[in-house]
Amino acid sequence: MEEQMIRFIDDVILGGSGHGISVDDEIVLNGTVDSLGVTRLLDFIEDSLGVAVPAEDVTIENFQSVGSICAYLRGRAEYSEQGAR
Amino acid sequence: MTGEHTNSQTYPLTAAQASIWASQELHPDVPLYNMAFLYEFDGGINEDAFVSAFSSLVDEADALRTVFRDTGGEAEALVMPLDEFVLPVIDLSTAGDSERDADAWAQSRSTVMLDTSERTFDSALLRLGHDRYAWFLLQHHLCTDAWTFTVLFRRMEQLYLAATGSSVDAVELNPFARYVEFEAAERREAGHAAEKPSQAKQPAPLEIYGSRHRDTSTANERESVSLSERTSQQLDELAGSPGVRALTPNLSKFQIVATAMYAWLHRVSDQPSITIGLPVHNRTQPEFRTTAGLFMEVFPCTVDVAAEDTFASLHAKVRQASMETLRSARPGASTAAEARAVSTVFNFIQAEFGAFAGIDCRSTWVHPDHVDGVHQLRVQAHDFDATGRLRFDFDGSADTFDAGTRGSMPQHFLRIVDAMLTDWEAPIGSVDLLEDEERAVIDAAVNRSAPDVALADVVEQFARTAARAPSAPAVIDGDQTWSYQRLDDASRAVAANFQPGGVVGVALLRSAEAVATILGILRAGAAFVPIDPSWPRDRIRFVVEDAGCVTVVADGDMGVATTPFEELQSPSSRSDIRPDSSDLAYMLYTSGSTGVPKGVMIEHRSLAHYVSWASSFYDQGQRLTFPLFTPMTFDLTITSIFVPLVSGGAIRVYSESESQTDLVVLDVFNDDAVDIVKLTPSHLTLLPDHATKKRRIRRLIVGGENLTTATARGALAKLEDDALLHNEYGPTEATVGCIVHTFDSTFDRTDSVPIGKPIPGMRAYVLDDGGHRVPFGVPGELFLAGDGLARGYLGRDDLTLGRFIVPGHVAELRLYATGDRARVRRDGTIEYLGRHDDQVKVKGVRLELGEVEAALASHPQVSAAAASVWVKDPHSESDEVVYCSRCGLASDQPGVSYDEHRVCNLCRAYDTYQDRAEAYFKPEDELKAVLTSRRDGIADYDCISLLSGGKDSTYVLARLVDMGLRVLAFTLDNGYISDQAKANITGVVETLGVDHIFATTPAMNEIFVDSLQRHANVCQGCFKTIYTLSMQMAHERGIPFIVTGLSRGQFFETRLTEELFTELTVNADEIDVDVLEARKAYHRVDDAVRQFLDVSVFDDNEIFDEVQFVDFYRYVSVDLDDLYAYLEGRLPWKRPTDTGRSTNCLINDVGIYYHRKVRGYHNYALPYSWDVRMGHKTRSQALDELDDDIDIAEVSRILDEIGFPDDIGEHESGQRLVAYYVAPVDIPTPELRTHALEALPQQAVPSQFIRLETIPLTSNGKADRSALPEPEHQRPELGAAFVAPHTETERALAAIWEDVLGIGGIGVRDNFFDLGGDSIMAIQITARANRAGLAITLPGLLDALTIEQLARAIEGDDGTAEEKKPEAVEIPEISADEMSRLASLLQRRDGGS
Repeated sequence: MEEQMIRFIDDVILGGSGHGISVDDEIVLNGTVDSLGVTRLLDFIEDSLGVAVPAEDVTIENFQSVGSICAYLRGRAEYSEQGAR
Repeated sequence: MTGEHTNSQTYPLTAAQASIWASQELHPDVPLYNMAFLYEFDGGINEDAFVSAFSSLVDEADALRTVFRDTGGEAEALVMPLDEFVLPVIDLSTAGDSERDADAWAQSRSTVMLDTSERTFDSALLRLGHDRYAWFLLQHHLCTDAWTFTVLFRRMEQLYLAATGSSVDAVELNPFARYVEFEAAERREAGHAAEKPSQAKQPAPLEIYGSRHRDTSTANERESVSLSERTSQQLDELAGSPGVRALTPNLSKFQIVATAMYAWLHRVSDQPSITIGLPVHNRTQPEFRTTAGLFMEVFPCTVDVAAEDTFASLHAKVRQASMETLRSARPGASTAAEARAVSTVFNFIQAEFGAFAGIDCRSTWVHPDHVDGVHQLRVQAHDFDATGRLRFDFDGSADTFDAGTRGSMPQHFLRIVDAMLTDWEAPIGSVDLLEDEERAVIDAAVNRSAPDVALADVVEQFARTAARAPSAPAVIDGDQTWSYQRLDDASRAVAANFQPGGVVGVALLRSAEAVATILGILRAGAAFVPIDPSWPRDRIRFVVEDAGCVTVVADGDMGVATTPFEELQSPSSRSDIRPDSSDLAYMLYTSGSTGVPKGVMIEHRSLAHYVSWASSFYDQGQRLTFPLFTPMTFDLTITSIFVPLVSGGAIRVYSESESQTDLVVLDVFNDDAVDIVKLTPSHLTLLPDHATKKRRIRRLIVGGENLTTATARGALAKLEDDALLHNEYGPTEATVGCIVHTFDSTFDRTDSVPIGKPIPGMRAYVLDDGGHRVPFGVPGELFLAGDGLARGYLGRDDLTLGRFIVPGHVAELRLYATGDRARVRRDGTIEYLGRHDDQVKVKGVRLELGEVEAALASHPQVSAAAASVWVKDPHSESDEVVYCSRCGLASDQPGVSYDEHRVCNLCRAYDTYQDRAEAYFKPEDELKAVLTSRRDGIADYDCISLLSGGKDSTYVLARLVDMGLRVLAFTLDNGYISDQAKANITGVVETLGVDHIFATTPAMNEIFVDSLQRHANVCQGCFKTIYTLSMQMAHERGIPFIVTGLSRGQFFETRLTEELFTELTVNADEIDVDVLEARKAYHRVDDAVRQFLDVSVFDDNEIFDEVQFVDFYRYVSVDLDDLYAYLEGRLPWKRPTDTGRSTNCLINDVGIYYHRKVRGYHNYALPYSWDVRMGHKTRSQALDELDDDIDIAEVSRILDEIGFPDDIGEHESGQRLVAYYVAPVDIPTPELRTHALEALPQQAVPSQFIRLETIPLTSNGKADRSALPEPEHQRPELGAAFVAPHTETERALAAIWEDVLGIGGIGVRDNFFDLGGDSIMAIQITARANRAGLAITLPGLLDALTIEQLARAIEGDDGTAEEKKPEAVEIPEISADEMSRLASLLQRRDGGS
């Protein structure tokens, strides 16, 4: 999931100009991805992973790095799996 | 111009550029898209380096070298390779206050019009002193946005530093051309995907401070405020707190500030759904961050604000909505339509400039005093100088908002921000927007202080008047005139029967006795309670018990203890009991929300207060005669009884009439025997035209419901020039009237007449839901205070406490909550805006929806009920109009339905009988035989050919001539035939060599007016005139035939219906008989044609044998192309181009406009659909022609020219009380109606009942009346009361009528035409009735016109069903003017049009 997301950020959001961001790099606070970029990222998450992200979950805690985004999404997926059981 | 065109690069405009280009084109001389910044440098600048750096900047930034060319409607952008612009250095250092000069210079320079085909920027370096400079940069918005200014600023800084020899990182700007490609690709992709449903729902226009914004001017003024240091700190803290913190500090701040913005807009609009435009920077790729150019696009963002929202809960909504807006925002995705639907923009600008090359810099966005006129308000939040404090620019339309409002906007907004940052959990409604000072200004504008004088009670005032002039007439009742002496004696005698403090019911009809009784009760120190003898017995009993009446003075039995007036006339009398001012004078019962009527207790103080004011204000020392004609139970009537009696005037009594609908007001108008009338706006609309000049009625006091300006204007036009009309406002609880406005037709321009200012001794406040005074213009609830306030509701302390409140915020002892919405204009005048809560007024009668709902819910089968008042708003577009996929017939046409292929019911039906319908048509060769069949040698002509000058009638004439017939061409010159059409007519008759008559009538304008009033179009009046005049001519000259140019489509539209070919075994001759019958009835209708033209020719029905109508196209079928080819080859005929459509007539548009307005659909839609079905038009031709572009100014000019009274407004007030109920099955409407009548007064019985699965609820679990479905196709409000079917036959007929007419709840006395019936429906009803074994004929139906008459005809007079020809039954003379709708059986319009 991390790889997929890094590729998306590099290719689409940063237009191929990304200098190889890593999982723990700050992407929001350092301005790599701004709020408009995050909305692209949300589209990508919803389209490719099928997880809808409510507005109140779009917080700096959940979106500061690729790692935290993926951790958040795993939490969501786990939660919904449990819910389904 | 510089540069080589060969090297220039061109590109099509982006969506955002195209939108701006189009708006600029609309205002070619206004600098509405000038974006200018002034950067003031607190230090020295190397001028040469700066000038050189700027040249490099222009070379580098293609946005600065872009110009725009109009290439025949489409604009394109050209990027010029070079621009030899040299930055001017302007010396302002010699002036006094150079800084202000720089501001003034920039302000002035920012309004210079840029010629965007030459250059899209302007710039200068200003020398303010040896170490003070300023840089001015102006760009057209086509090439820039706020972010671009930071990009250029930063790059300029680098270039300047480089020019001064410093070494800097040179990061070159990226070309804008790359974004152009990117944006186009995004748009293509979006076009392919097209997955996102566009925001189909147009946002409601945001109306703040009561100012309706119209895109009339671009003039705009700025008011700015900055957050204080403390507030800014609070904002930063909140932005960083958990639960509020968003992705970035800026986004957090934006969401908080936007929350305050939505809260403020909600508070100053009182609208629940707020849509504002959010600019989105669109720099989605890293390279775009260093690109200059226009990226920004505005996207609408709607938030539903609830009154109970706290800032925190509203913030959650704003976060959600703004996130959705951001996510749906895509470069190129904003549409011009969306952008133009948003009138308020909130721009949270993240751009920061900071220092320039180490020099402190102050950056200012210079306002060019203009913005796009679409925007009423643009708010920019920014911190350009990175001070840590946000600054807000409120750019408000100078046309929409007055200076006072513009000035107070930022202040009110700041109050919200402060309150929000102080208490995040506070309800948004808890904030007081006003400072003490502004509140005092509002109070001073509205309320006047009253002289503190003790007022005599009304009895004493009457006694004094009676003593002064005992023999003067006091009451005129029929042929009896009671002098003041007699009234004095009679009332004293009444008084002797009652005790002080007693309560006495009065249920007398309006009469001198009733007046004496009321006076007498007051003289005894008792209180009176008016009771309407026509109330249901239950209600009377309730009121008598509730009020504790010792007796009811009445004439007949009413199920309670009564005393006749005569018994009260004992000779003993005693002197008046002088009441205390707080003694009860009367009680009036009004509807209660729980279904129980409540008694409003009015004390003597209040009665004396109102009557004293009213007599001095209205009578002004004159002794005026008032009519007493309104119900005694209506508090409006208090004026007509007491005002004349305390001022020496007289009462003229108009007693209740027998009929259910009390139209006694007409007698008041017709008699014209009074000076002043107190009445409702509904009454006003009945005021007849000048019958006799010099009317006695000179003053009208209007009360009881909203008065529209159209009604007021219409009424005044019918009175003498010096007549006055007072709009008096006041709930029963504030004693008759307490706010008054004298109508001024010059200055009163709003839809409703203002209610004015409080009378002395009364005070008014407009408060919001939080109990705060609202700012000028903002709607709120109207509260009253002062001497007129009632004591309360008898025995209903809970209700009394709920409506008569002890306020905290306002310095008053008691306030009455009127439940009315109002707003205060800046001059202190109050405007009425309707009911605030569920209390409604229908036809002047106040009722609470809860009472209606309670009555309905008491039906055993009903589990839940809701009621709602629908006001037909002809301005509102109906939801979504669909069009038949075959004929194009629109869904706003009454009675049209569509199948799953969106084919209309008319097309489907026509499929089934098209073949058989052929039988109606006749072979062409028979035509000549018919038209020559009566050549008896007397007449010079075989026939008259009706010639409008259009293609169809021209073809008819030419063909008749070709057949060798002797033809007289006949044209009506209605005064509005276009010049080209006239040229066609004269050319055609000349070429054909036929005799021609141009008939005219001086009464044409009266006929147009009458036609508009009856049929909402002009054509029907015109056609009747043509038929009438041509019949006369045929009669005089012995011509046996009149040939019409009715098209085949019109046959189907008006006479050939499905049933003729499927249900009935009808042959062509039978249809002809019916048509002739209809034609006879049509000419008997008493309309303007009958009044103004000589119609003696129709006195004898023989005329219809003597002169016969022949429809040419019944015999001849011609293809449209052939027809045109024929005309072209033979005649000098050209299609008129000066009427704007395929018509010859310039007044046609008036009819179309008016019909749309009052009937809600296009009067040509149905005829055109038949033209399509007949193959005479294509669907798109028909739709094109129906898509009118009507010049409303011209319509209004013509309406004025023909003398049409401007009563368009009166059509708009059509209120309907509709009830909704939940029940397992449909309950017949008559049953529900009867049930409701047991508990409710007649006026409170809904006119329609609709069954629902569930009643929609709000989030709070209350019934959501706003979500109830709009009723359609129900029995319209008719003049006649509803009478349910009684007999078997009536019920069967009613079922058929309801089915065919598509409406429910038809009463047996409802007129067929009033219900919207037409001849086609008449045929359908006949067919179905026959199938059901009810023997009726079409002429029988058209004679009867009501179910009652029709049933009587079927059943025979003794009520037994028997076979009986309806024609044999005695038919009452047809005088109903509704019969004129039979015109639909004949030509709706000329075949030539």
